Amino acid sequence: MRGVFIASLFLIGAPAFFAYGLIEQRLNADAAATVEERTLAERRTRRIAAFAEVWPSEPDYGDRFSALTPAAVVLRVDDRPAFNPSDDYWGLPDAPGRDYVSGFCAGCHSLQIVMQQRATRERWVYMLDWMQKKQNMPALLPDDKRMVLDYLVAHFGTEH
Amino acid sequence: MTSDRISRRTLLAGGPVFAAALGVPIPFLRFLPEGVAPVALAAPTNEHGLSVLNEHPLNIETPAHLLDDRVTPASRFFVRNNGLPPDLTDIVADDWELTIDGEVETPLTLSVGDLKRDFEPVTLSLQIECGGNGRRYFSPGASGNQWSFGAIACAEWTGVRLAEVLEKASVKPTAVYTGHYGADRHLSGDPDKAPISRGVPIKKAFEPHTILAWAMNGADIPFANGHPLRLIAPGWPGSCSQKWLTRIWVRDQIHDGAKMMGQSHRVPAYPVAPGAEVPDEDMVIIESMPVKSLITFPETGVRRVPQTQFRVHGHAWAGDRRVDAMHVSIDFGRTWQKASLDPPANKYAWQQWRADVSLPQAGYFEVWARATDEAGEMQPPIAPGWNPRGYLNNMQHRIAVFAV
Repeated sequence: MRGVFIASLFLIGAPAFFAYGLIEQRLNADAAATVEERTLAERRTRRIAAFAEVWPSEPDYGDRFSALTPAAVVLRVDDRPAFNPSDDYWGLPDAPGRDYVSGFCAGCHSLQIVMQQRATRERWVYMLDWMQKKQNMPALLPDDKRMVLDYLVAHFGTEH
Repeated sequence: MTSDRISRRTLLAGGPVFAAALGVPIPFLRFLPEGVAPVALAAPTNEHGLSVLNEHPLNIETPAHLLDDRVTPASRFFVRNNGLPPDLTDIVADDWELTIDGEVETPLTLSVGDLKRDFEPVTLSLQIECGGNGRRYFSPGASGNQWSFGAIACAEWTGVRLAEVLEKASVKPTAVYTGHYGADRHLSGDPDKAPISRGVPIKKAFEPHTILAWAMNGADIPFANGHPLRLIAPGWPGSCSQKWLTRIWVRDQIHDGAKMMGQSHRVPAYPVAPGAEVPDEDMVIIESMPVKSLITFPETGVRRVPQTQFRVHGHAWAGDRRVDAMHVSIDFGRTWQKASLDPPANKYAWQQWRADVSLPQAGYFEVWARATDEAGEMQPPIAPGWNPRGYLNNMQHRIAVFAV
């Protein structure tokens, strides 16, 4: 009975003591805050507001949790050449293969779908074969196909 | 790259500036098949604020904060197309015909008018999610439209149960699978090719929430979402819910239509390392979608006063299952707080959840949301199970919140 009484005293007392400690600490901190500390706090508040102003608002999912991924590189879609309808080549980077990509891919679908990809070379091989075998894409000559693959991997591969 | 980004930002800000875009020389114009308009004039968002991933074929997703309604309005329903919509300039909805054939005793051809008249109509709240929702967050990239979180919607669909129609056709014991056909057209212009023709096991076809719908939210289904007739097979990849439905072929084998085979709507039969190429024969058909949730309020990037309680809420769903618990974290997943969770309006409806949180000090915070289904499965913090086509990413949704 006496044990229970002491235990309950402790249960009430410990949080009260802890809370008092916190309050005392804060009072002391407020009292001790120098002009420099207060202006620093104000600057921080302003900086957070400024960060909020320019923040793109989406948390960055691209690489934050990629530690276990072999290709732990920044894979943000936004960092790659962007589809641009007012460009003669819709924003495709100027490099060998560009004519073929715009001609063979944009014949059926928008280049938006091409320019979204971040695919490995193997994926691009698969996609080109699939387009040719299943989706009526005209066949590319072997040399042209290699050039197209190099182009797609260079600009819309996993390094982007 | 910097200049590219700046010019893109400028374009994004410009919006209607795209209207001036046509009139530029188009390389390889001669390659365009007859009747296919050159693709240009892309806008990053449509008039309702939805993100346009691809104009041709049209693919549009809804930002999470615009999915706040319990019943998704037509203007905020994502659009997924594999081909071009049918040319339906003077269609009379009630005259639209559906054929049921294959492994049935009595093949049927029913008009939408017949469906309305001869069967008992039902109205159900049913969620449809694209199998590739979340594809964007796989690393290395998985091929296809790079959906983020918004290829999900839950509307009130009115129609008749497919089971009742199949019973009228007397399905034979040899029936194994359905094969669905719609009136949309292949991108290459080849009239003999279906852009997509998927199906479901007979058991799913007979599930009482699998319906032939002609109305959404009390009005005609939006054209882009399948008017005048759409099959709704809820909780499974949206491709099972054929738009502009014209035929259900009851098969004595697993359906082998367009995008049933190969790697479409399939995942490796065993877990693979990110970036692995998997042979077609090792790819298996996706059935139920996994447990998932969204924070639909507040919008990501908001500001809240430190040490002041505020409400976050959203929806949760789990394919064939029910969501059992919902948690939120404001400290990157170190601690979790239980949210309150409503029961679904009916099976396959998404469930509403809400929580009050308070941020301890000024700074950058993220609110993370995590749903747990009735089998105890919960959403992972990272994109799970990399697969070549980037399906089934049910990672936790997060919003950025500045305490300031």
